[in-house]
Amino acid sequence: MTTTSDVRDKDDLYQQAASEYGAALARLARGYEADPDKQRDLLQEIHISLWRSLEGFDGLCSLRTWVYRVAHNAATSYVIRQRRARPQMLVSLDEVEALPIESESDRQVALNQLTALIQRLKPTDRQVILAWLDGMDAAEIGDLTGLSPGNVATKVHRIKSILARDFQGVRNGRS
Amino acid sequence: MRISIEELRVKAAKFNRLIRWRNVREYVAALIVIVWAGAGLWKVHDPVERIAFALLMAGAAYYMWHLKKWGSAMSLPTDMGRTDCVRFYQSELARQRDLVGGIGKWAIGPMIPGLALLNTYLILFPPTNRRFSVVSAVFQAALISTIGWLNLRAARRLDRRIKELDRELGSV
Repeated sequence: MTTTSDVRDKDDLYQQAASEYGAALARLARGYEADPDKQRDLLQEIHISLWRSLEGFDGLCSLRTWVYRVAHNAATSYVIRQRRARPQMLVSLDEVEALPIESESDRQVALNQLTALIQRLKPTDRQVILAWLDGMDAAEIGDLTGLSPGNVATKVHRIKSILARDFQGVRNGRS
Repeated sequence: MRISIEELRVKAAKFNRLIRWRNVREYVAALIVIVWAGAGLWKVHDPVERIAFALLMAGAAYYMWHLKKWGSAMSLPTDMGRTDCVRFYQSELARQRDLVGGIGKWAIGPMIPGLALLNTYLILFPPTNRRFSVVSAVFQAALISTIGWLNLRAARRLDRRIKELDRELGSV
């Protein structure tokens, strides 16, 4: 039976999570949905899932890991539903072809193209790249996704190659 | 984005109502078939036709029982936090696979005996035009086969994706 104290704990935990990770959740939503209106719907769905899930937070993992897991899992459910409605070919990191980045591209254009690339990725690769871009290390990414350390390392290496190959011009342009 | 706790409560309650309404809709669809077949059973006098309508009612009732037993299973919110992303994705795909793959078994399958008997009877003893009865039977068979085949194909595709994820989890 849920007591008043349990409800307060859940609400307090949610407030803490929303305050600490709100911006990260917004970035995550952008990685899963291109349309701004649908992005807002997805972000709302993530927040609702997070709030509902915190009733079961048992402290066996960090709040950060819990928040990111709920967010990615809620977003994955969203992607599955959307693909039923409008099927779209998603690719893996290994299948990403070269992006037509101009060397004079400004940072915003490059960021937009990187976001578009992420939105085309299969859920597992999308989770790894978003987590890596958010500053998670290989161990944390493994904890989040369930992938083995070797698999995470391979994917991170591939991400770095893509960024170096396709965004090098932008980095050079900035200097 | 800032959402107040009160807003979250309201939206979560709305979400639960949506899910309940989706379940009710499925029951209503089955009930319509039962009422239609029941009306047929009431109207006709021929024993073969009556058996056919009774079988259709039984088929629809089985579908309702299956719905009640297995429900439209959804992930619990706590599962989203406890389960790592790849395994969660697998479980969602598995749920979908079982749903589409099982449609033949618990939705379409139970209706086939009643439909087969009714159509065979109407072809052998057409009330009006035999050609119409034949065309109707062929159309129903084609529709059911197509739906069954499409769902099986979708289930196999989902199964392949689940196995791909197994390999990703197993990679060193």
